[in-house]
Amino acid sequence: MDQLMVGFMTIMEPMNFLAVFVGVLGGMIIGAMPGLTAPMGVALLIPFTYGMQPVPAITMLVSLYCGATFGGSIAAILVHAPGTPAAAATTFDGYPLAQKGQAGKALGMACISSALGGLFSVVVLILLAPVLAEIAIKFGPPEYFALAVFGLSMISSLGSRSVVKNLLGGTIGVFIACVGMDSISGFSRYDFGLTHLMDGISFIPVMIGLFAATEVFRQAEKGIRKVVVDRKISGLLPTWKEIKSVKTTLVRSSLIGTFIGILPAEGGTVASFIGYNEAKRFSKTPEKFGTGCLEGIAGPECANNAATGGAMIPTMALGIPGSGTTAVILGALLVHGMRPGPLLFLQHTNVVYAVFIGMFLANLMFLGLGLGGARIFSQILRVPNYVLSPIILVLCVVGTYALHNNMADVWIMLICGLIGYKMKAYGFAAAPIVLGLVLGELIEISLRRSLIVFDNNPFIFFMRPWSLAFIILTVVGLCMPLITSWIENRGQNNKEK
Amino acid sequence: MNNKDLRMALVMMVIFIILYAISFSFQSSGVVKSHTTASFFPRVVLLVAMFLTLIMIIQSIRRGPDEAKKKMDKAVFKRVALTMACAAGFGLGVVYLGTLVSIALFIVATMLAWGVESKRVIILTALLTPVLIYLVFNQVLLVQLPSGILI
Repeated sequence: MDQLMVGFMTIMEPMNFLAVFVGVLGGMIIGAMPGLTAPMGVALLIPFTYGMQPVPAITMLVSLYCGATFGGSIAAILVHAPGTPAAAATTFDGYPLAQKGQAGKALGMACISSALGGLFSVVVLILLAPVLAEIAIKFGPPEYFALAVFGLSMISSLGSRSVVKNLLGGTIGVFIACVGMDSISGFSRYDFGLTHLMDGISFIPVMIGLFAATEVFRQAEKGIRKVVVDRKISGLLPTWKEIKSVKTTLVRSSLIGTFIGILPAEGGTVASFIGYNEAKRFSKTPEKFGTGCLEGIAGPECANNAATGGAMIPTMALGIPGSGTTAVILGALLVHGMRPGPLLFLQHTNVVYAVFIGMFLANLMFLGLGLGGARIFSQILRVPNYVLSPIILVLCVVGTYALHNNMADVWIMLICGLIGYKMKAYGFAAAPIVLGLVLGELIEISLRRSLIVFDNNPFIFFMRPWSLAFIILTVVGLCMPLITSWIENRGQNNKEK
Repeated sequence: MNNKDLRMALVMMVIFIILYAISFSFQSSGVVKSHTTASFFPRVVLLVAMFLTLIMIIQSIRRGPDEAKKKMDKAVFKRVALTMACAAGFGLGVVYLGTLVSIALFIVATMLAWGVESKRVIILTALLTPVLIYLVFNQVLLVQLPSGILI
């Protein structure tokens, strides 16, 4: 409780409060623009935080995450194009309601649901993360290795539909983490005689390249696009009766979103679709879904924002990112000299609790900004992509350069942008590569330490309860898509017979 | 047979094999156990990558032929290629011409490559962006941007 009070007092300092405000505002703007995603926004914002203290820096990034997750619903409701992938399910009922002339009510419901889901998940984060960190502090290298591999195995469900491509992406990420000086023997690997590569490849240029530069090239492919917003926004506040009518959906989606968020590598997109489906399944009027019903907006919106707090739990307590965006936030924590994991709660207690309270405040802030400024945010959609894309690439270059004042990072970023663009064309997603890159070092060090400490015994991973549990979960997680497709095929064959 | 995936998988397999071969050139202190050498972990990762690529190859052979292949329109290809060229030029320009001039030139070049016709939009964006970048990075964040021979 004392730590929460200290966190609260820290966040109330003008600079930190401003950081939350800027993060939420930036997040809502980025989220509202179709094509700009939360991980891209966070990756682009990192360079702006280099000179800041850790509290405002990290709080600004997590606030952007919260704001962008909600911001995605603005475009989803007004122009039927989700601002972020997590808002895709919101289009099902948000847009039809806007077509009926009730865009304001749809936005109001999305805002209230998002805020409630987000607030609930932050409470769970505050309660659960320290407990998890306390358990994890007893983990040795074998447990960490098994946990990181489990986190990596979960990427099979991220981004692209192909399990093999996702796993391959994650493996490539782990390989990129191998470049540079080996931390145990001290010998250099894959530096090809380039001094810059001896230090390894930094996360930030790779993240900015894969998430932001790739998107610019994809926008170039789409060509000039202007969004026409012709809906009048009025009557933003749903009535008390309308809010009461979705209260069960809100509770259910908060729980679903938080739980999905906690699962490593699952994120807001999965949460929002499950939130929508469950809202429909338990609804007394499922036939109204798809025609502009409020439950169809509350379900996914509450779930995707609840996933933000959920995803922060494994990120902060275990150092295992819960989503693509939290992988980028994890990279930012490292840039600011903090290694996420149980020790973070001991070494940087003030920062941790200030970030938690900052996240709580961010959810309250976008509630106010969303209800008060929805009309203004809808105007952001009018900014054409041919203005935005070159500016994003300029920010990519300048931001990457600012990391080490080194042009080599800029070239790495641009190369990653090109590779990301090409890989996307072949069905590979960026998030697994980033996740692999972030977890690579942890996997390598914990594997090699385990082998050194336990006298080269590979069975040590099966002899310790936690590590065995994570390995079983990994196997189950990897087999799940195979089992699911086998069941689906069997069902289809039976139908054909 | 899915040619697109197969081609990609084969290219990746060749790259992984080359990277695996390179791992034999890593220095080693001649220490006893293999897991303490610098090449141990990259080799494990590359073996996993090769295994997954092999699955990808088998999957692409077993899968049906490519769906009606959508060829990239010439104009689209030109736009993407020009944007990439502008990005590379921007990177070089930052070193030789300086950041602010390069930003302005990059924005003009990219917008023209995209086919933007409004001169007002092009000029305004090209002038305002370097000013904003200078104010935010140089004045607020105190980042010394590369100056090149110009500014």
